[in-house]
Amino acid sequence: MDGRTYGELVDQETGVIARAVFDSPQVYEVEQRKVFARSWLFVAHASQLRRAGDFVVSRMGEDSVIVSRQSDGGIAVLLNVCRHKGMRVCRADEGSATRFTCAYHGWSYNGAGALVDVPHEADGYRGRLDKARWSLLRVPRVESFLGLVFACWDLDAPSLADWLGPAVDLVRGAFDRSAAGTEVLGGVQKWRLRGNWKLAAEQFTGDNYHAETTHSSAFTAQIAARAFDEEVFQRLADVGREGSGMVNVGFPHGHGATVITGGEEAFRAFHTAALPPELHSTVDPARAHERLGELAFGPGTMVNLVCPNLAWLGNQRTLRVFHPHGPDAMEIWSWVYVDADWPEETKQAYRRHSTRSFSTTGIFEVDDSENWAEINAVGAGHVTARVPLNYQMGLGRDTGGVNSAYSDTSALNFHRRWVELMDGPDPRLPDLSPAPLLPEPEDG
Amino acid sequence: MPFSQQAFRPRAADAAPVTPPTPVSPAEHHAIEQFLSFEAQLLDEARYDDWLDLLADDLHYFMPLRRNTLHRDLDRETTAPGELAHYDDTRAELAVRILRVQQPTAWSDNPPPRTVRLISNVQARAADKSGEYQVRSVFHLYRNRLQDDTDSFAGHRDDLLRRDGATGFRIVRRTVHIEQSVVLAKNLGVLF
Ligand code: FES
Ligand SMILES: [Fe+2]
Repeated sequence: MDGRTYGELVDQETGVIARAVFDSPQVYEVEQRKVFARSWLFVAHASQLRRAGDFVVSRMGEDSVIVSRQSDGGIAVLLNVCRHKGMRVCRADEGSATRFTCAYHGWSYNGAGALVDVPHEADGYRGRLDKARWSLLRVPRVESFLGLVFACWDLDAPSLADWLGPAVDLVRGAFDRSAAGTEVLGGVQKWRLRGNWKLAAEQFTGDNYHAETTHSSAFTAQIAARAFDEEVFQRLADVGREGSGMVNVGFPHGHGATVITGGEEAFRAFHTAALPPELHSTVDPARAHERLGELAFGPGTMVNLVCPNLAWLGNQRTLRVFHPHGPDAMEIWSWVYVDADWPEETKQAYRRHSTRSFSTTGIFEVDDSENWAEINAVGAGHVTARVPLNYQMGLGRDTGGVNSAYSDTSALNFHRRWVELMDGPDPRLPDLSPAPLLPEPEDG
Repeated sequence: MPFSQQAFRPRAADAAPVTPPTPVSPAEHHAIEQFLSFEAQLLDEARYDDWLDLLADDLHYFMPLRRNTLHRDLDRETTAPGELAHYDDTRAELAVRILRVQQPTAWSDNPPPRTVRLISNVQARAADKSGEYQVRSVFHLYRNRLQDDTDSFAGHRDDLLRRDGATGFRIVRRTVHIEQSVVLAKNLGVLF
C-alpha cells in the first residue's frame, strides 16, 4: 500500500471508509493472506458428516478444502489440491469415500489425506518418493463448537474459544438451544454475485437500518397477504428508538450482532414478527431458557456475524458464509439450520419459510443482492473511487461497543478488526517446503 | 481395464430396445404447445396476474438444487423433497412473490429485467387421470437487466397439466431442473 497502512482506509474518528476496501485488487490479494489465512473459518456443520468417510468440499477464502469425517470420529480438513501437479483432487460436492484419487495421474490419498498409492511408483520413482511428505496438505487447526466446524491455517492463531471471545454467547444463543443441538437440512444453496464479500458481512453485524427501505416490497406483500401485521412491522421499523428492546453490539475481534435486550417479551415479539402465523407456535423459548437462562432471549437470535464471514439469522434459521470470489464478487453458501429434536413438521416449515425469505429466490434476499452488486458495479469511476463512504450513524454514542440498533457501531467494529488483521503479521502456515527424493537405495 | 460395474446409466443387458413415448394426438399436442408458448409470453411480459390464472389451486411449484456427485451417488445429484430447494411453493405462496414483484419498491425488479424464454422439445403423455397430461419441456431463459446484468438459465421442466374450460389447461405440478449447481446469477427471482 505504498507504505500506508490499511488503517488509513478506515477512519474510525470521522466514521468513513474508503471504497478501496471493497474493490481494490491489491487489497483483495493481501486479504487472502492476512484475513483468510489467519482467521478461524467455518467449513461445515457437523451434521453434514455423520459417518466415518462422509465428506463435503468447502472453501477457506479461495482455497478449496475437503472436510472429512475420520474413523476415530475426528474431522480432517485437507487442501483439495493434488500434491503432484496441482489438479483438484475431489470434484464432487459431497459424498462418502475412503480414498480420494486424482484424475490426472492417479495419485491416491486416504480420508486423512495421506498419499497411499502412486501408480508405477517403483518404475517411476524407484521407491524414492517421500510419500509421507507428499500427502494432501492438512489444515493444521480444526475445532468444532456446537456443531459448527471451523478451520484455520495459522499455527499462531489463538484457540477458537479465544478467537470467539465474548461472542461465544452469539453462538450459544443460536446453536445451544436444546440438548440435541442443531442440524442443517440437506442441500447447500450456492450462488455467485457481484459485490465484495465484506458488503454482506458488515450488513450482518446489524444493518437494521436498510430493512425498511430495501425490503419494503417484501414487507408490503406479506402484510397484504396477511402473513404479517402492520403493527409488528412498525415495531421492527422503530428498533432504533431508545428502549426498543434491541441494540447493536460490536464484540471484540470484529464479531457483531443485533441483540435483543428486552427479555422474553421482546424475544417473542421480534421472533413472531419475522415468521408467518403457522410458525408462531414454534416461538417458545421455555426449553432454551431452562438451558441457557436469560441468554435464551438475547444474543444470537437475530442477525449475527462471526468475523470474518459466517452469518446467520436466528429468527429465520438461515446460516450462510460469504466466500470471497475476486475483489468485486462473492459466492454465498446458505444452509437452513434447525434444532435437531424439533418435530419433522417444524423443520420443514422453517425450511420452506426460510427459503421463501432468504435464498436465491428469497423475497428479502433478492433485494439485498441488488444493493451489493450495484455498489461494486458503479465503483470504477475516478471520482467515485475517491468519495468516502459514510459510517457515522451513532458515532461517538456507543458504550463499550453497544449502541442503538440503528447505528454503524458494529459495522465499524468489524472494519476495525479487518484493519488489525490487514496490518498484522502474516499467518504461520504449515511447512510448504518440498521434500527431496529419498536417497538412492544401496545397490543390492 | 475392466468395464466398471458402476458404469454411468448403462442399459441392462436384458432390457428391451428404446422406444419413444407414445405421443398424444396431434391436436392435443398442438394445444399443449400453444399453451406453453402463451404461458411463456405472459411471464416474459410480466403479466403475472394473468399467469396466476393458469395455475391450479393445488399447484406444487418445485425447483430442487443440483449438486456435483460422482456416478455412484447420482441419486443425490438433485436434492430430494424435504431438502433445500430454490422453489417449493404453493399457489398462494407464489402469489405473495408476485405481490412483491409488482411493488414499485421491488428493487431487484425495478427497473424490470428483459427476459425471453425458449420453450422447446415438448413431449406430452396422457397422465393416469383423464384430462391430465405429463409434459416435459426444455427451456432457455435469457435475462438482461440494468447495464450489463446478463443471465442465461437452461433446464427442463416436468409439468402436470389439467384440462380447463377457461384457460385450456392449468398447471398442477411443475418441477424445474436448472442445469447449474452454483447459481451463476445474483438471484433466481424469476419464474420458470
Ligand atoms: S496431478 Fe494429481 S496425480 Fe498428477
Ligand atoms: Fe437485507
